[in-house]
Amino acid sequence: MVRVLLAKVGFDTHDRGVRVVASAIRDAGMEVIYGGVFQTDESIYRTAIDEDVDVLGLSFLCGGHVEWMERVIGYFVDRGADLPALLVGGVIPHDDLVKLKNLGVKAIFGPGTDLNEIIDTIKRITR
Amino acid sequence: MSSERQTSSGIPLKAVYTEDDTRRIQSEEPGKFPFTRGIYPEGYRRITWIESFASGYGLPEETNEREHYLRSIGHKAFGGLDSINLVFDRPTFLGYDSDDPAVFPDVGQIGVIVDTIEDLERLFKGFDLAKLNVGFIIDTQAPALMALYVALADRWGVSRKTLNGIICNNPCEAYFVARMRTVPPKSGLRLAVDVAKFCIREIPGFNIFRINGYNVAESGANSVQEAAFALIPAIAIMQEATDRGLDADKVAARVSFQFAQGRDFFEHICKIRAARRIWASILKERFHVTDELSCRMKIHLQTAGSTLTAQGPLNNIIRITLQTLGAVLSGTQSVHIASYDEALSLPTEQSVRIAVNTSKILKYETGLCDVVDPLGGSYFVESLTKSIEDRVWTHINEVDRMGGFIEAVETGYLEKIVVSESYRFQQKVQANEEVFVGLNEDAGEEETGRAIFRVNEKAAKIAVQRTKEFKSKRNQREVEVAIEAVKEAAAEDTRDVMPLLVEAASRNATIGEMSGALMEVFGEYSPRTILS
Repeated sequence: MVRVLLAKVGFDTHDRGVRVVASAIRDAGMEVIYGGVFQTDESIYRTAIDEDVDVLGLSFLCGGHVEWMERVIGYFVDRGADLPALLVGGVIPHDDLVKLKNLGVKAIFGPGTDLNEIIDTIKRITR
Repeated sequence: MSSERQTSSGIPLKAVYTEDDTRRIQSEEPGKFPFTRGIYPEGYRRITWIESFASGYGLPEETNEREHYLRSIGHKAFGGLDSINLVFDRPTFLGYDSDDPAVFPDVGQIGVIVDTIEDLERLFKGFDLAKLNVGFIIDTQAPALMALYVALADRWGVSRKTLNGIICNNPCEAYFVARMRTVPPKSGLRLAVDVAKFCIREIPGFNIFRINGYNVAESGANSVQEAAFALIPAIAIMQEATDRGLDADKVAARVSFQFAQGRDFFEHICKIRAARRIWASILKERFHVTDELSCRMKIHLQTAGSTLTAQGPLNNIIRITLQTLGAVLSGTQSVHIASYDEALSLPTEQSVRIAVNTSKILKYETGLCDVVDPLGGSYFVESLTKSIEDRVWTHINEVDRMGGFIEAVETGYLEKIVVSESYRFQQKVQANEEVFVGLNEDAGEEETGRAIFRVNEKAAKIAVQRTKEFKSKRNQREVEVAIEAVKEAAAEDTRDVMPLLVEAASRNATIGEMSGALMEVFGEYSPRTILS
């Protein structure tokens, strides 16, 4: 079964969207770990490794997404650990989409995204 | 046979309402208890609603520039007062300084950076604090921010008695809808009441609570839940205040509320009318407030951000117009109107100007201010108000049965309802039962807009540098002594913390140091998380 970790890093706590996505992924028959808010690069790494997740999705509303993704990715790379497949959701300015893709983020889901699109993407990237 | 219809809260809707539907509903007058029809007998004929747009980003001088711009385009309060309603960046909102290693890269992103009294000086440059109605959107870390503002007024020689404004100071949201750095519930309530006590005595022109239904609604609650889950915390706050010996009338006169104005046009209006009626009777019957005028619910309405789309953003201008119209027909005292690019970024000058103009056009071009509560007496509106009122009371009674707000938090009752409703709403959107024009209806998808506004990238580094310099130049010993005094006062339940915080602020203690002191004494509290 596909295992997905969803969380918010940093101090933005607008979590309505990520919670809804978590429920939808659970209802689609996948295993969801909702890591909550106030997570850090370290806590995400720990949870991802302990829970052996296939997918890591982080949600951003308040900016700082490029810096935070760099930090989180760097934390895994510095320890020689394999990264889960990376997803980002939330309010991401158009110019930053490419930056995130270049960091290795597989897909970015903005406002109004259909939940089925997220589920289909997860299935595709974990095949 | 036409299908059954309901409001977004699930209240059944008839096709036609008649006199029969309102026969048993007491007719009322605006400005008279229980204030269903509005809190002033002359409504907007005498005082119109004011603009109180939440704004803030980057360095304090950058926000200062935006506030001057807003003033220049007619965004103002009553009686010739300026109007500022401040959003703080996440570190400030949560009580951290910019130079705290944990907080980069959140510095300055969605609100203004305030670490020190010098930041406040930059923020308010060119404004006369005695001629300003200022709002501080800060909750669990309100004590430190309030202390800093009072210290600023003192330093600028502005009498505390001339200060006007509002501090949200609502500890309760943190426990079920809006996660933020906080302390255990009993301590959170105590601190909030401590701020109230200080303000009633020292800055009587300040409203001391802005209790939030908006965040409840934006977390996914429907209108009935939004009203109920604003009133239930309000009851807990009033209870704590009166338990601690504050005069119920004096507190009640300074409590205000914020609600959302969302999609279901009439339901939101009726929600406000019901809320006013319920609150007035709670204050009178439960808290024995003697002056009926202190039972008036003062309201700030914010157009609901979650109703706006990133696709076809110009459509949002129509949405915010309708929502502002709803706010006016609800009889609000102040408004925040979203900008059309809300789903993309913070507003530009151009987009916030359209939002300000929305308020002005409604004020000056429509005749809406000439008659008080024009919807009063409508068979539908009075009937729906009553239906909402009954359902809100069901929640209030249920929480009373449980033992109050803190019990409702600990059992997860409040959070579970909000989270479930949020998921249910999204499923309706998926099924095209809730339509967003330009997003999921037949006419085809519209282009996602592009964000224009960006926060100054250098702001965070500048802020960190400034705060470090500020700390190095002041008398460190004085700060340490003052912070110790704060901790001592906080450690004793019956002592007042605010006077010590103001003293610390006047000695150049920072937001992070003052908030940090309180967090250390009371301990960090993490509510559990519930998925639907």
